[in-house]
Amino acid sequence: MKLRLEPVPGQELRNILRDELIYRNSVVVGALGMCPVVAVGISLQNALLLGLLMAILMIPTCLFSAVALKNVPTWVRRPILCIVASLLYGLAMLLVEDLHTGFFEEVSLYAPILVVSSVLLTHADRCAEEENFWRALMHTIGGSLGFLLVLVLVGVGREFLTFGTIGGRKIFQNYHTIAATAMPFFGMIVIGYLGAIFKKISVDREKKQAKRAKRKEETV
Amino acid sequence: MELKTGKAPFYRYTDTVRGMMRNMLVVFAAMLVMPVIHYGWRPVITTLICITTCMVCTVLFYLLSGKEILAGDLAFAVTGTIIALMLPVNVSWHIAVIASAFAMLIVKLPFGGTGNSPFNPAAAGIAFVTLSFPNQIFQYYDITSGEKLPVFAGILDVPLTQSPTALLKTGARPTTILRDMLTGGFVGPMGTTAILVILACACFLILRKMAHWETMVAFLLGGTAFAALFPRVPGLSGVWYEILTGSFLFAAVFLVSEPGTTPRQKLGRWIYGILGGVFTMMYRWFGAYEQGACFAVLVINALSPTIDRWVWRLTNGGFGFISLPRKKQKKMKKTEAEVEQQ
Repeated sequence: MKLRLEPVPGQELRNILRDELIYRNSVVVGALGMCPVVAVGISLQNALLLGLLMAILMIPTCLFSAVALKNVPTWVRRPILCIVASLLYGLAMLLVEDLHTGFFEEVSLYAPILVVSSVLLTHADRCAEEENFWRALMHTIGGSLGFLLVLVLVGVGREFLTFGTIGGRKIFQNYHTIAATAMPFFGMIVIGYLGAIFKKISVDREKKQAKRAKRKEETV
Repeated sequence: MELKTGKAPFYRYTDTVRGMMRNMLVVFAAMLVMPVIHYGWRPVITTLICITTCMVCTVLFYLLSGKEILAGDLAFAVTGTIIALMLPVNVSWHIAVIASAFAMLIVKLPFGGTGNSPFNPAAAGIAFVTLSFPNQIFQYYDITSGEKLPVFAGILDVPLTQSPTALLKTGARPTTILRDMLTGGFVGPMGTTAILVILACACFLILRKMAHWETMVAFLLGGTAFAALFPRVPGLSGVWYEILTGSFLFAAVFLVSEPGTTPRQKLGRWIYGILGGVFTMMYRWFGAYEQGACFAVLVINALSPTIDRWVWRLTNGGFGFISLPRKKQKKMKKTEAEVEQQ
């Protein structure tokens, strides 16, 4: 199987991006990569930095998988991908540490765990099976943006509930800190609620598509 | 003339969810009498705030999800009252609101409302605020100080003290006398201190068949046995203090015996209750907080379906290495076949 560089219609790429963000979101719909979201997603700052780290690891790794690991069996491909991601981790650390000193001490284990994250490996597998380079690229970008979206939603919600701030800015002056919302169990609850919202969006879309298909049949 | 197509006798079945909840509210009204006598009107205000929060959350949830508002069964009032009765009388009202909102929006309503939640909503709400505000949950208004408890403003300035369960955690013997414990004249969560009233309510619930006595008795037995075998304070009085202080007895009557979360079979309810009692005492012994009834209730709620499944297997053929004698299995199968023929 060869990787082709033929241009893909913009609408198709937009559909792929939308699917990766909402209808096939890795975290909320696929239940992948929840550990760092739940453990470390307690502020907008953490969410953005972790999302950036994931993007730096995921996009080159998945493209490498699409270009060079097409005909490689899965059990060989995945360890290679982990090695590639861990090499990129060093570069990512330098960049992210520049943006916020002390970030890696704050998040401890949950940053290096992204190297072997199921989100990264699942998308890399999908890119390896993809025949078109642009589709593979959009899957990867969509996957990392989907991860970032969930991180931001969970992080903002929990930061607001825990500290009454968003992005470090106080919203209410006399806010009583709710310590339990910073605990991992509450992160799972927030992901559960997000899952319900995403499912509702998906079900509404399917209903609309069914209505449109029915109308087309009736007009024909 | 109306044509009835059913079979005689034409009894009208009066037990509805709304009827059950109404009976529960009558019980809780009785539970509120002693706190009002000891503390004034603040317990009533706190209870109303919890009930109102639960109602608002119920209405909002059903409006946002586009479903019919099912609040007529008054279950929200029962949940709100239980939460209020498990809080200290001097608790800030925002904590009561948070506990009620968590109970309804996270634990009860997303799972389908009354009877569908796998966890006791009131226990979950109290557990949540215990994790979030432990200093406020375990500091109680000093009933012996002689100072009047304000209803609205000035609640943060009242003299505070520790409950007998906090003393037990440090290994000290509480000084509360039994008479005060029976009438609620000692420090603790609002509705958990009047022991006689709780026992009377338990009798009422059992006689009205609104709660299973096996669960309550098993819970008490499990906790008592643990307290007797591993006393923190030596002597029989140590066991009395463990049972009668804190929310242990309240949990036995109102949390553990909730029909929606208890196992369906009798043996299962015994196992469930005993585990609950033991876990409550273990949380008290080894946990970070002086009380652990809510956490123990949540743990056994999670185990309830598994207990049901194991008990069913045990009584219907057994496991590989544990099973009923063959004669009894054949007898049970024969009985089932006879029932099918009929």
